[in-house]
Amino acid sequence: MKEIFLFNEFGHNIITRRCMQDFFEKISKHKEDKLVLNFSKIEFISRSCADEYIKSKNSSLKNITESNLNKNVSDMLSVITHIPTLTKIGYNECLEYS
Amino acid sequence: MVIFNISNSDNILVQIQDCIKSINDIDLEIENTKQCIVDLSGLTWLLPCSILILGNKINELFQNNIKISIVPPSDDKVRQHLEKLGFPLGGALKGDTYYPITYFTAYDDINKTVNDLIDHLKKQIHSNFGSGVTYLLSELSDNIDIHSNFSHAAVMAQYFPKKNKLDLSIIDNGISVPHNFEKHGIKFSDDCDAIKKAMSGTSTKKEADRGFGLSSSKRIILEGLNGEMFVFSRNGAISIGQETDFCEIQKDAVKGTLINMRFKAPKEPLDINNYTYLTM
Repeated sequence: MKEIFLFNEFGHNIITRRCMQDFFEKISKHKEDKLVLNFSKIEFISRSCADEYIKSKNSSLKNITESNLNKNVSDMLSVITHIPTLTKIGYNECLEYS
Repeated sequence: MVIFNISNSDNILVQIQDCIKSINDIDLEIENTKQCIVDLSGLTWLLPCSILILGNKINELFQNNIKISIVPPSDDKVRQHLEKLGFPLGGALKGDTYYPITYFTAYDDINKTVNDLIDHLKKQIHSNFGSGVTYLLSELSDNIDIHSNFSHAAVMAQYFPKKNKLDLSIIDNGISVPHNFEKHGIKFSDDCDAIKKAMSGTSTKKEADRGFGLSSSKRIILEGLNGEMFVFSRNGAISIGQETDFCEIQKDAVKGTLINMRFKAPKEPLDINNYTYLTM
């Protein structure tokens, strides 16, 4: 298992799809199959980047888990995961799915 | 020589129209003589977005080794103000109430550039802005990165603490929203319509879950930040806001896209979760 501190890769905020694509390209070359992405000190992830993260994670051959997500980041990832549902229903209902 | 005659006005549309005309005159002069003298001596007042569009043009010419000379403003206050903001080539120190002109190219790490801006703004602006400003900057910079095919872009911010207002401007010299739509076969009636479509969720990406960035940004600006947004792209110019609302085809085209935003700090802390997830 390898733990990766995302703050060292991105800074406090994860902004662009491209940086996330580059990151997944980089971690695909790690020897370890199991990766823990540590989100400590990450304050914000953009909507676009959260979308890219979920897609890249789902298509990655690695076993990826997250740790130390703050509420902002956790909410954004959770919502993006449920996006087909969320476009049709209201925010209050969305929270029940998070 | 191109003499900059910019209206002494707070009206963004008027100032940008003047700037675009002068910038197109620069291009024409360079096409004819391969060099240009830009005379700013008559400038008395420039809005942040005007400073950015002019600075970005001059920087682009410098980067491309075009010979360009600048006659500085005669007015000391205007000259000092421009210097403080890093006009025209960037590199100025950050201040308590502003983030100076910062350039980036397609080869730079945009994530790092925008992170630096966000980290600085967070220390200066009212906490009630919440993650709203971060959200807007991230979606707009990602759009430039993914869609614009730019070579040069710039960003700057100015904060007015007494009024709790923030001005943010971002510009790229990319292919513009209308041209990008044309490339991807998306139909629109004119350049304003193309910008409106982009702001309403039309995306050149085929995935069903794309196009949320600008449409959710629009909602945050209007409903969360009581703000206004001006978008100039090719010949289209639109504003979105409570007090200003226009949509005009411009005679002179901007090369790329310029976005200027003005916000007020909300009375209650802004929770972007109320806006980012409900779009379209």
